[in-house]
Parts: sequence; structure tokens; C-alpha cells
Amino acid sequence: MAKSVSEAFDVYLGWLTPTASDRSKASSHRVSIESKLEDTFGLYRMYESGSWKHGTGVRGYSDVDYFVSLKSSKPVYGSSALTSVNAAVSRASKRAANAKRLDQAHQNASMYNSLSAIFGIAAVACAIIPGAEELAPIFLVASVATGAAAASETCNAEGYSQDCQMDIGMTVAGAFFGGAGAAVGSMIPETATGAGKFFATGGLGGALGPINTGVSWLMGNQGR
Amino acid sequence: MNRARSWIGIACFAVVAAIPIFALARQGALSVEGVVIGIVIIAGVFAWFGLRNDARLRSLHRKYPGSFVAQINIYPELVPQIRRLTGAFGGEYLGVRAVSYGSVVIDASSIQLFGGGSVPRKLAAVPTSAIADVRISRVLQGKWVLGTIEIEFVDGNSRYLANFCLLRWTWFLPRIVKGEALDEQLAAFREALAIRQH
Repeated sequence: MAKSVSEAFDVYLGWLTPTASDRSKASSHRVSIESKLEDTFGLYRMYESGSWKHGTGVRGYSDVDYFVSLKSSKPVYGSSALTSVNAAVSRASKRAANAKRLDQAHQNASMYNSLSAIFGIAAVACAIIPGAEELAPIFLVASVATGAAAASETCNAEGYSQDCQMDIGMTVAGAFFGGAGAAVGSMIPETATGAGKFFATGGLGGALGPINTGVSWLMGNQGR
Repeated sequence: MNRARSWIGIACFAVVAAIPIFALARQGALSVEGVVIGIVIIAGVFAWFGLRNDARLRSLHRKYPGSFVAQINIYPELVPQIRRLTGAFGGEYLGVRAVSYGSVVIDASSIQLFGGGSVPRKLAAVPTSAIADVRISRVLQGKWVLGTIEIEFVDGNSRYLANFCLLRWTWFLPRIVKGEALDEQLAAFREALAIRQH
């Protein structure tokens, strides 16, 4: 709490001055714009000017001003130069956003695939360990569900790509083996762990999704 | 020979477990976060089942004080055994599902099977009047040979068996009771059934 007019003005000035975080964001944004313009037109130089540069910028109000000297030929109209700069920055922004979205989708798919593999392994382990059989179908369902989530992420991000097809295929295979295992296992009472064994097959099927993408990678496909 | 077979089994499982992890790691798609979350969820599922079973056991102890109460693995062969017993000696058969965790309660008049979660649900009840012997036996579950407590019922010239595979939850992991612990459980079984004879 300010105790004098002078202190009150200092506090007020603190509110108006851009923070270190604001400056960091502006700096990062400048790098990306500079890179986009360099790629599209080529740059002689780019420098900062205006209130931001001179330390008189008002937080939440002032823009950051840049002067840019492009390597392109002299435009007939100033407006056409502005339009093409705007288009270049927009295109690059879209590409960056798309790349970010794809990267996020791949991260999610990796997480779901890892979960699917771990649950598949747990399903196999539970199915073959006496006393733990009851938990095998739970982990099998979890393995298939997370496999389906991974396939969904891949397909949404990349369309009907090879990875997407493989993920769907292996998820269906996991579900099929699990379902068939449950049905066949329950019909063979004399094999005490019949259901368990077949659940194990289902769990393995669920875990095969990542295996298949690994094989695809080894065979020279791009994979993820 | 058995030891070698179990090591081969462990090795096969290790290979099965390693392949997806290795494949994911090779293509840079192994998410450490996903693995950690998966392990936490698996531990949580085991813990949940362990707590449910403990709660059911406590509930049965409260409901049947002085009776012998134990956790069992209801494996597929036990289901027809119980069905035959209830068919031959009366009792109740309310539906026993194979491959599930259950509890057995032995008192002066009956052997009761319970399932369900923390609230016990009766699955079957068999009268103890025709029990001729209680002993340790073995059953084959797939490749595993498991120690069980075998109860023999006699009706004229007919013999009926029920093999109970006892479970113990240690650190929320289900373990089959064997060795000395199974001997102790057999003594408790016999003691519980002897109450009826006094």
C-alpha cells in the first residue's frame, strides 16, 4: 500500500510497464515472424522501433513495432506488399499451428499406445498367473480401449493414413482375440485356465498394435 | 524339469512384454508418462480388488462370528463340483461364475460360497452333514499344479469332491496359499468342521 503520492505513482507505473513475460513472448514472436519473412522474401534487416523499443510502451495497450527491409523487388503498390507479407505470415502461422496439432496428436497417440502395451502385458500376466485371472479381462478391455484411442488420434490427425489403418487393424484384432478368447475359454471348462489363456491371446492382440508399427518402422516405412 | 519349464515360461513372458516396449522405444513413440500412468492404474486396480476382498472378508467375519472364513479362487472346475454337491445334498445354488474371487464360510451346518464386492453375495451353500474327509490335494490349472483343500462328501456309494483353492492378498496382490500356510488352513478347516461333531 502506497503511503505517499510519489509511491502511488511508482505503483501505478509498475502496472503500466510490460512485464518480463510480455517481453519474452514478444521476443519469441519476433523470431518466428523474422523466420517466416526470411523464408518467403529474404531479409536485409529487421529492427524494433516505437514505444516498446524506447521503454514507453503501455502494458495491454501498446503494440510492438518493427521495420523490415525485404529482399523482394520494389512493389508497384504499397498495399500489395502489405498483402503478400500478411499472406506469408498467415500461411506460416497455419503451417505452424498444423504442425503443433500433429505433434500433439502424435504425443497423445504415443501415450495411448504405451498405455495399450502396458495394459496388454498386464492382461497376459494376469491370465497366466493363478489367482489373478479375474483381472485379465479388465486389462484386456483397457488395452483395446486405449489402442482405439491411439487409432482415433492418429486418424484424426493424419486422415486415413497407413499408421491409422494399422492402429485400427490391431485394435480390432485385439478386441477380436479377446472376445473370441472369452467365448471359447468359457466353453472349455476342463481346461481350468482356458478363459485365462484365451484372454491372454486377446491381451497379446491388443499389445500387437505397437509391435506392428515397430515392424513397419523396421521395414522402412515412416511410422510415427 | 518343472523348474526349467517355469523359467522357460518366465522367459517367454519377458519376451512378450519386451517386444511392444522395445518397438515403441525404437520408433521414439514410447511415452514415459503413458507407462507411468499405466503402472499406476494397474496398481490401482489391484489395490481396489484387494480392498474389496478384504472388505468382504471383514463383513463375513462380522456376520458369521466363530466360523471359518477364507478367500478362494473360483476356478472353472469348482463350479460343476459345487453344482453336483448342491444337486446331491440339497442346499442352495444361486449361480457360481468361474474365474472370479470369492470367499468360503464354514460353520456348523454348511459350507457357503460368497462373491460380490464389499457387500457379500451368496453364490451357493452345501450342507456339511455328508462330509467324510478333509485333506490337502492338488488340482491342475493349465500348467500350474495348485495345492487345494479337498473336501470329500459321501452319499451311500457315491463320492463327491470339492477342491478349494485358497487365496491370500499380500500387498494387494492375490497369491495362492501353499506349503505350511495351506497346512495351517487345513487345520482350521478341520477345526471348523469338528464344531459340528461336538
